Amino acid sequence: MKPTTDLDFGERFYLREAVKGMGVIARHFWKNLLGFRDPNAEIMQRKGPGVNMVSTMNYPEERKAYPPGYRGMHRLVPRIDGKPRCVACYMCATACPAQCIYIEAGEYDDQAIEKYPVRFEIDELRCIVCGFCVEACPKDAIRMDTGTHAPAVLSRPLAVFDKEALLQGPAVEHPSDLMTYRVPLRTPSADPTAGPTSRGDVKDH
Amino acid sequence: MKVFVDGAEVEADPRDNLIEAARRIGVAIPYFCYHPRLSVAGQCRMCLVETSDAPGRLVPGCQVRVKEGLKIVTTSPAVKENQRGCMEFHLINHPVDCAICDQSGECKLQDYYMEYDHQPSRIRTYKLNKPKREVFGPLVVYDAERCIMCTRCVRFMDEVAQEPQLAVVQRGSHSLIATFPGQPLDSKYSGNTVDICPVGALLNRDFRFQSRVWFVNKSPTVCTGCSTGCNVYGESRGNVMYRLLPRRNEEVNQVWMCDEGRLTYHATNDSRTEWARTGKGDAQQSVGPRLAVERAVELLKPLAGKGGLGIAISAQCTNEEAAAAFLLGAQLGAVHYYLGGNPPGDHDEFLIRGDKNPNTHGVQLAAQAFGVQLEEPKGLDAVKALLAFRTEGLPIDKLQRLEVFIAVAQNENAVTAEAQVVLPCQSVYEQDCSLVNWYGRLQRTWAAVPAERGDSAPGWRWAADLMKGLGAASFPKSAGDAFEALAQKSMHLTGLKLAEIPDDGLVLEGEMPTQWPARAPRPGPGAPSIRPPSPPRPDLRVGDEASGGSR
Repeated sequence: MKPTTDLDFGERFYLREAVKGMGVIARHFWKNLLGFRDPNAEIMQRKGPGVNMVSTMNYPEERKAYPPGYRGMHRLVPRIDGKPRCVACYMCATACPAQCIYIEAGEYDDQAIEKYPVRFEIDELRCIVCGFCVEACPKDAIRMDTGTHAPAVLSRPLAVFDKEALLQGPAVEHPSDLMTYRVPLRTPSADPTAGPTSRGDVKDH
Repeated sequence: MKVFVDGAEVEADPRDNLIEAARRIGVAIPYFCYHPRLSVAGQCRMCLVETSDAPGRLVPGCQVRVKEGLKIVTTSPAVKENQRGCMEFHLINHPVDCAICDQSGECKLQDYYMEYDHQPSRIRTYKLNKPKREVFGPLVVYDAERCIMCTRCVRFMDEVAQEPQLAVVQRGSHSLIATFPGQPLDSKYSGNTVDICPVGALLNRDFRFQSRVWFVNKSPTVCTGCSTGCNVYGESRGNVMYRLLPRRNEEVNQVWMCDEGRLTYHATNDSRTEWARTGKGDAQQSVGPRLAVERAVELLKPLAGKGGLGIAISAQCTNEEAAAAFLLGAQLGAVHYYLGGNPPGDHDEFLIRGDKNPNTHGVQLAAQAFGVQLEEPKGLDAVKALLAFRTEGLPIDKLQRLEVFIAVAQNENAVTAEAQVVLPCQSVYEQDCSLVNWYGRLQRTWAAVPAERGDSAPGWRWAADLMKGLGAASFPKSAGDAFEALAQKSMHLTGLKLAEIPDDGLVLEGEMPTQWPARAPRPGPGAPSIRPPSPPRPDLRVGDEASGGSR
């Protein structure tokens, strides 16, 4: 019985198709070797003319831009005076499903919004990059708009980013700033009645 | 007395107001300024409802008493419109700084906004600026912008603390709460103003910014600050305690507690003895609990039955720790028993007692049950070896000449530095245990700290481990065992089990005093919590009591 096929005679003859295939390989070989291809506009930092203008990307020397809205590394948004916009309300830490945010609150003596984070740490190894912290923030104080991802590190403690490391990028204005720069009507005095003792280190986080 | 709340029949007490009558069937009439233990102010207007007595008009539910057949309507359009309007008025000048306000999570403005208002602000002008962060006293800080002028704090200071240190000053929208010139809010009960403040205007300086309230676990326990034994909630996360809040018990502390008691949790967090250790000075060595017990047994064994051994029990010890200590003492043939404890302090006619230990009464009761004479710790010269259960009130100079000194200690101090073996002890807030307060009320406490701190264990467990190491056939295996060992010997506790102590405690009738401070809350005559003494069971022999775990 004759086998059913949709190949025409030339294809079934094999030799003609094999020669055509070698032609394709040869074409790609010469194009890649001589750099005839157009550089891919999406690939950043393409190095040099010619040799690298191929479709294969040489990561990490070459990188592709992340799409807009990409949830990258966190940053703490600074106010225009350089201090973090964060008021240590713990909303991000509450919303965080991975429990990677650790905050310790402190108090400014001279500002109307008196609460601020003394420590603000994100364990980027624990972070699952869900963006809930950004959604939860009532002050637009934490963003994931850095366009980079968390860097690879050689030991785990290095993946815990503290306040100084996170506080970067352009300052952003916010309606509540009116409140921030308001001079308090009465600043607390030098505290004649000293408060109770401080708490020991929180060791369980 | 029958009244009708939204058509449903309610059996109300004639002394009820409309809020309490509605509460009996779970109908919530919202209120800010009303407090069941304070006089009625009618400040907030949030509780206005309609009644059959005044059709078409709104009456304050906090101020109007029930009467036979009264029909109360809490859901009519007029009532709803008033509640919404009230919320809008209260929020006109409210800064809505929930993000930095410690009250968020337990704030009535937040709850009622979601329940009764839930609309965006219509105010298009600037909000009124008022003083913020005014330090009222050692424990209280005030934010006038958040204040809704319910005057609960003012009424509390006038009526309950009876030290009128707060007042309303200014008028209208500008009114605020203030202290008097030169007179800070330094009452011993000032912390309660923070508890009853329905918003974030008054905040506790001790707890402020330490944690958000939804992170902490709330567990019932008993305050260890003095011998009143106020019922409290301990709030903690991990192995750190954050605050104490009063828990309602009409016969002990009503719904209040003192400031000193509020701060007693610090001893559970700070300078704790976390790990067992042997040796003192340079020879100090942190070891595992088993090795530490072995070393203690090694030191104690030659002394057993030879005399010269004393046991010091602090009045900070729980009943279970005291019972286990007496069992161990009987096994070792201890000749002297010393009752330590914190030195006496100030007292008043309300909640604060001069005895600053939670369980002096309980330790004395246990000593009586075990037929032991308790002595003052200044008589330590009579012994050459000492085993101390908690270290309060031990004279350091006399400890230095002891040949053997073993301490079961909660906190590091000069006394633990003298000990040859230190066994870390859990605080009362970390244990399931029982305490007896100054008027003989047996109160149960529950572990209020979820995580363990180091190798710390309840004192009775260290006593049991020592008994085991010294070759006892039976020893307490749980707090319930230790309590039963005591209950079977004491005529006041006969037949009681730790797990069967009611949540709000039992009054041991034979231990009740005849003299009471003038304003101290107390069980009324014939209160159901009073338990008469009964003779101990004669069929039990000494030593039987410790077999608990095997039964």
